[in-house]
Amino acid sequence: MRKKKNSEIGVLSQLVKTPSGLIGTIIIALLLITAIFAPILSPYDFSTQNISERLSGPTSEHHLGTDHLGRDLLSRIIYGTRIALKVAIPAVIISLFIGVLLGLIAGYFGGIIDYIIIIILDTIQSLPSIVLALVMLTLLGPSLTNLIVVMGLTLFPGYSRVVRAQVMSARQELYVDAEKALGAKPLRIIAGHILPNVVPAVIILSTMDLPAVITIEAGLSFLGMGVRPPSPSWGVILNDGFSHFRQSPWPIITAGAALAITTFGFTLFGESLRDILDPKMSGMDS
Amino acid sequence: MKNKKLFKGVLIICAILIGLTGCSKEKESAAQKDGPKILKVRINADIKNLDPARRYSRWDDVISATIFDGLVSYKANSYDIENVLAEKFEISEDGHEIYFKLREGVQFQKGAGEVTAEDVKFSYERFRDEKTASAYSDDWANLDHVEVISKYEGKIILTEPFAPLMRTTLPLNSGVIVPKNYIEKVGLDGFTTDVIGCGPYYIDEWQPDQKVVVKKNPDYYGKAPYWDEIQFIVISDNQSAEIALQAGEVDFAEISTNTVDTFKDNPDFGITSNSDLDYRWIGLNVENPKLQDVNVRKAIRAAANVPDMITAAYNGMVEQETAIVAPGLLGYWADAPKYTQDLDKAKEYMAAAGIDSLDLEIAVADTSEYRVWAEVLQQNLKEIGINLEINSMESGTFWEIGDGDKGKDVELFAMAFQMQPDPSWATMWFTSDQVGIWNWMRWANPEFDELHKQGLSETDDQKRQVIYEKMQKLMDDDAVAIWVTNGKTYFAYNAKKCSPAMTPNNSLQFRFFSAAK
Repeated sequence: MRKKKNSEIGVLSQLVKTPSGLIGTIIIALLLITAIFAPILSPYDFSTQNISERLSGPTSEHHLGTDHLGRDLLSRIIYGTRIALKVAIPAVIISLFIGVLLGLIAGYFGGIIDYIIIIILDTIQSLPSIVLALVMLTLLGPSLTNLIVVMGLTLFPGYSRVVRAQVMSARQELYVDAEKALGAKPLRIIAGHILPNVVPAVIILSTMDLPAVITIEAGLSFLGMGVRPPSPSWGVILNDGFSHFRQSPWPIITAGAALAITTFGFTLFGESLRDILDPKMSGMDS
Repeated sequence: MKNKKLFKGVLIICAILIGLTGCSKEKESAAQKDGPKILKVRINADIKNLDPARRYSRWDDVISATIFDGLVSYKANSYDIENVLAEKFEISEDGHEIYFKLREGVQFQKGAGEVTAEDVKFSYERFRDEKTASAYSDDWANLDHVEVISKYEGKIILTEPFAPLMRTTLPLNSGVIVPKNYIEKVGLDGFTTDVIGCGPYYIDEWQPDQKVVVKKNPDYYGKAPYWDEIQFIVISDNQSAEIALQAGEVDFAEISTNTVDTFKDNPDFGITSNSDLDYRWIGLNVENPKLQDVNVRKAIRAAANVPDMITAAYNGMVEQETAIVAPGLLGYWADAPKYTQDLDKAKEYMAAAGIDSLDLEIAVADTSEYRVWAEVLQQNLKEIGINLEINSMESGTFWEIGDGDKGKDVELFAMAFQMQPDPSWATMWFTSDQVGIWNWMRWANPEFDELHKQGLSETDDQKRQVIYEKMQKLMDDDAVAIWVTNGKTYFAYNAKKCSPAMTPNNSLQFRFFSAAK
């Protein structure tokens, strides 16, 4: 059996060798660049209105046209990338943190603790995530921070389940028994031996979750429960465009395309990463 | 031989089956033709309370108008008045007394008894009863009492003549008759959505946030309406409503100004519109510490670019509104200032208030119309150092933010009120009694209150004109509102199925809706 290179550079070089991995990596790189350099890249301020030029198609001044308030769509889409990542990355980190923690606890200690945690996970997972997020946002009120927290809280059970399963199987390993016999504390066993084993699975899962979070954010913003105007979330652009799509289809086309490309990029990236890091998981849906 | 018989048998069975299916198909189409005639109407918000004294929204108004009858009412498509429950109806010369004689034998729906003069007395006097807590008590501001002469006869006694009585009180929902005995039995809480009237329709079903169904009252004494059943289906979003209309899921719907042309070009649909009397505005809560200074309010008004709001929100298809009473009505203030953006002036006001930056919030119901206003205003205010947060909320939540003391926290809000063709209908919501009810600006001005009272009892139109102009000037001086537009409501309907009816100011008269013409 060929030994797997698990260093970061090794993974990346393997990733770009496959076409899907390459495309995914390029898309994500472009997204990150767009998000970081948004102020430099966008030709106009995303909130400056020019009512007399509203709902125009692409022109030499506005490369993607303007929205119903005459705001430059290109600039809004570019800043929209920022919002998508600003929500998705922290939300995934939150769910990662809570999810891994609960998964470790449940898997390692088992018994009644495991039972309670599983009930919590089942309860959350039994509700559709967008509906749960809607309910929580209605109670908390829409804002960027609330959005991030709510998304984090709705998505963590996925991580917990994966981690729990991995921990349970790792717990049976001989070296864990040996470590226990040597008098190691649970914390040491978890941190030193079990956690490293679950990292690949969790990384894959979070890459796959990012596009899901971006889509849910857009969905919630579309419904008016996400970021507040004039923040140019793609969902907001879609919603505004929807009200005027008979006059100009460009807001819908551009925001829809941005959303589609992003989701596509992350999915390709995540799947390729999975094939490299954990071939066992191939064919498993996130 | 056996086989032949079998073959014959199969043939016969086939023939019978074919005959049966043929029959059933014929029956089906016959049933469709003769089945109940159902009209499906889009409403953009759910009903809250159908009790005429405690009605809440425009749809409460419109739907309860199908269930209740009054002594008199507007005729179809007009402001002409005709007798409905009243057989005789006479106003005394001094305007203090109105004599009425009811039709005999008119029954309330669902077996709630006969309509008598006692019910009339109860129906009108409850508006002034504190227990009812009617937001519409001013519709009966000058009511002294109703005198019952006999089972079917009575007199409405006024303290002073009351100008809006024949314009907006009696012909509309504040003039309808409710069953006294029934309400006394079930209490106010039992008379909210499950109401009983004596009108052409009775309420059959209410599925919250889904639909309200009214069915034809089989015992109706008057001319039977054309539609057997009207379903009012809640679709809050205009786009979804337009799609539903095109898909035939609803037959009648309010549409946005952006899509009027699409429906106009399609021969399957009819369009009806009228300039509204409604008034739409951005209100400023004067009790909020941030907005207490009139200079701050004037700065906001001077910075606001209303023409831009109109272009962006209505495709420029409506006119800017300059004061609360719409053009064409008694009380219209023709010389009202028409505010356009003046940033220098706005900055001067800010300087006079001694403020160079401010954080404010505008509450809007989540529709594209109000969101656009808010976003334009947000941009306008940025230029004078005011950071405006937009808090858009679901319409049910929005309509409660101004209630009671909770309303003190409101800062700016986008709002639209329905109007009836008497100026008192515009001013009655901004008296000090209405603070915490509908006066979300929480503006209390004793002179305004006094003028409102005068306007109600003055019967000379010229004098009333002066009174209402003065009142609008008071509002203008205190900069409590940025008037946006009276609007224009466009309705599209399935022209092959129905033909609508409404008063000249777009109050829908579903009882007069008929088949396609």
